[in-house]
Amino acid sequence: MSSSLQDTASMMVEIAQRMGATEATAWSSEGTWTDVKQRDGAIEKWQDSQSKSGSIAIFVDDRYSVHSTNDLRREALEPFLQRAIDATRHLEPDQHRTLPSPEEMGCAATGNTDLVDAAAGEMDHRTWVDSMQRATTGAIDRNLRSAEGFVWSGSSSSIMVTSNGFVGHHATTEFGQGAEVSMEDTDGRLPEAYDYSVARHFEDLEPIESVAAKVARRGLGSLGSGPLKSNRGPMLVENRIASRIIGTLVGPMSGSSIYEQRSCLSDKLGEQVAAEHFNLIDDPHLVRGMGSRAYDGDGRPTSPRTLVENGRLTQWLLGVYYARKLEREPTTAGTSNLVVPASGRSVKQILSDLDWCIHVDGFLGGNSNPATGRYSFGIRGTLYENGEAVAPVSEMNISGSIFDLMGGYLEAANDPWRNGSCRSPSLLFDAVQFSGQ
Amino acid sequence: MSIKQPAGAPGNYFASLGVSSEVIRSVLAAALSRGGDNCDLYFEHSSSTSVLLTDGKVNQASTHVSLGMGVRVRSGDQVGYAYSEDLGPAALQAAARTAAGIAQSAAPQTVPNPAPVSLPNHYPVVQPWDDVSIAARVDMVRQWEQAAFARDERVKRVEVSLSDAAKVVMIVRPDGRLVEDWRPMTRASVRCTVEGKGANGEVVRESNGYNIAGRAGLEYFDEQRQERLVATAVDRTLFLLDATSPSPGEMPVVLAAGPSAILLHEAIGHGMEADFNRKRISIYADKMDALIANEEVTIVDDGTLLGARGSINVDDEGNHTERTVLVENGVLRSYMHDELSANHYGLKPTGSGRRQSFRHAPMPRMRSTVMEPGPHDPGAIIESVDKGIYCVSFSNGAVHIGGGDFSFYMKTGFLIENGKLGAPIKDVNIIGNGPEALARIDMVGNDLVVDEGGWTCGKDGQSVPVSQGMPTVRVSSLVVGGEQ
Repeated sequence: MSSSLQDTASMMVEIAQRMGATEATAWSSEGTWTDVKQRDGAIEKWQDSQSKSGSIAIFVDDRYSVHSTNDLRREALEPFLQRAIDATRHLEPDQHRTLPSPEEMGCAATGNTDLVDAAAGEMDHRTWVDSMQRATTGAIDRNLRSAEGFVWSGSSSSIMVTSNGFVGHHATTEFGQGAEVSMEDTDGRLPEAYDYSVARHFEDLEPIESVAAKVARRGLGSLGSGPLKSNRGPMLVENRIASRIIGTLVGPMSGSSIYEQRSCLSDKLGEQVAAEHFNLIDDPHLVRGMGSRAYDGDGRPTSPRTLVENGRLTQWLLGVYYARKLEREPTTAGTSNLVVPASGRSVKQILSDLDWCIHVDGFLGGNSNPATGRYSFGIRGTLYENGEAVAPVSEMNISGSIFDLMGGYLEAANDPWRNGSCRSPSLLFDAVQFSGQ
Repeated sequence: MSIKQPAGAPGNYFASLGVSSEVIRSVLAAALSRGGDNCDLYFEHSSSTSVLLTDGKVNQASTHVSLGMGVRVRSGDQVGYAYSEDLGPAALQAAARTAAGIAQSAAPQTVPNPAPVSLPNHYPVVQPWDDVSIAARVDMVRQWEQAAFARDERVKRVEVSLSDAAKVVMIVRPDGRLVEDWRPMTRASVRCTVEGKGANGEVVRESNGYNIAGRAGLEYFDEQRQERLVATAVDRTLFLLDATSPSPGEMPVVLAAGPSAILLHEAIGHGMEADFNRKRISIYADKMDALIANEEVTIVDDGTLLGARGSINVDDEGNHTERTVLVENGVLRSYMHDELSANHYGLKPTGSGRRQSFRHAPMPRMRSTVMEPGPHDPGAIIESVDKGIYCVSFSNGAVHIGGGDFSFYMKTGFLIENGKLGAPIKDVNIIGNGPEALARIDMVGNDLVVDEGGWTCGKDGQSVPVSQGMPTVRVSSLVVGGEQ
């Protein structure tokens, strides 16, 4: 499989150089997926996907362009790349646009993070999705309008080749199962709730019954929700959506926003950006991690790095291009697995110590301003008083500055999220502005 | 590098890539080989080109090409879907047999020869992009950059992009219908970073921008539109320097004409897509012919607006598109249907079946969602509010279809105090419940504007281009974010 991928990528580089490119980087990838959904006892949609694509970054005398196509026949690639190179010649030169040198590339990427499970091609999706949906329906004894189970499995593989000798291979498999329910509320609303589990290896999936039980609990917990009065106070953000908060902090670390001066972190290197006990690590080498990778977008070998240490911002996310422009050492182009270290206390213990707290389990829309760090998000969740759930919450917003939010960070629970590339536990913040009635 | 508008009869474009009538018939036969009720083949060849100016240089270009066919087989309400990126007969038939697996019998069906159906043209192009050189595009983005710097000395950084895309789609059905549509698109974006003095004399930086899009050629960029693109981008960024956060809470919200139609899209539009209603999981399920809004409120979803980003000459199932009246004088009149939901309800499809690409199955989607004008003068609407906010521009929105809670993010606006516009405000999320918000629209202005912004709608992992439009509207109460 990977030898034909490598042939494609090498062919793209070879054609581009023959047609006048000074340097080139090519990526070729392919993937096979099956997604199945079943609603209330009947298959709703069954999709089988097989795709391939190629893309190439072309450097022509300090000029730069990127191109992609899924028509990888040589007779189609030649005119495609010829037009690409002709177009590139009309651009303006940028001395920073060259391939990383062997020194900048560092040593060859190695390491096995066990991202492939051979079972990917052997799944019985019909039985699997039926079990998922029926377990969910069976877990809810009232107010259920409709339940949909969904399962997917697939594998993908990609090769990166540069004209100065780098060859990287990245292959993964993925399995997922989950369900979404629509509940019947007494006022005619049909609130929905979902949960899922995803993993690189099938054996790491959370059991179907456990996922179904979570969907049921969320569905029943969503009934009768509404906004509370506006208030300021503690917020516990559930682990599966903590990535929204972490992302608001990490987005402005990117090289492009630093360089273009639209980042609230451009003058914060080495400064306090969060409470002193907050730490954030980018770990590309987590075994079976959803974001694990041996090399980054520049082809540079990856390594674990601390982005925020004891509340201080220690580095930006600089690929080779923006590192050169900012005259700094490159760190890494983009993140892999973001990790917030877990603590010893459970969500239940944390909630029971608080007079009141809004446990946020979903965001609805909202946005943030990377230039200023201001954010404003819609939320759903539950009001807790002394550890007891007292009211389901919806149609409220939270707003403020990411620096105030992170400055008010109190603690992380003991439940790191494993179903994605942001491995954060549930996070507790103080003095958050809620707006409602 | 864009795909030119095909000159020949419908079907010739893909025939020249090897997809003859005989191949089509063999693929349709394979799709129905397991006894499916119906099927569609969707062939697509798409291309796009963009140039980007950043840091004072037009130093990046990109192009993209994609080619393939998606095949959907239906058996009752069940859907099997597969696609092929290889247009050879064997690969196409293999994809069709995979999709056919959703059906479980083996009744062979005969398929007629495909016959072309002629279409209207809602996006005639005067100056096609394939005639516009990269050098000419470089000049355009360079001029916009210089105009942005010239507009205000506080402008420190400018990023500009110009892109165009075109796709040829061919849809073939087992009843013999063959349609072919050429779909152009252009989009331009100007983004600025500005630097000014804050309230305490400190240096404040802000970043914002403006983007516009339509189904058109180079003629889209007349002098007036180019000026508006740059001026709006710069002014909306400078606006942020003096703007603050409103106080949080529930209050009357006046929505300015144009992009405010994001409220229609989120609060109402998605809930009226018929797939959610067929499954009875939309908050608007079982509300047909009910009074759901003030009688000033009429909402249409229109695929036929001239040159609009959301327009289509035919939908992605091969059905005629139209102007669909969703709400007429407050009464729910129609959902947006694809064929699956139309069959379910025993109705004609509304031409709303759309998809992102050949890799995706179609579903009911919005096109251009527009609220018709009402009786009120926009100034009088603002004057009617004692204390509230006036929203001017937006970045994004979201909705829960069943719970009905929706939100949209206001980028720029003003406080309203005693019937007058007050201090500038920015960056707040606004949240409400769809049917409640619809019922709370109590004044509709006479100043309809169809927004020119490059909006993209996401649903179930698929993105499609859409447009939206609205007159000035008052919503008596929504929950506004912000900080005390």
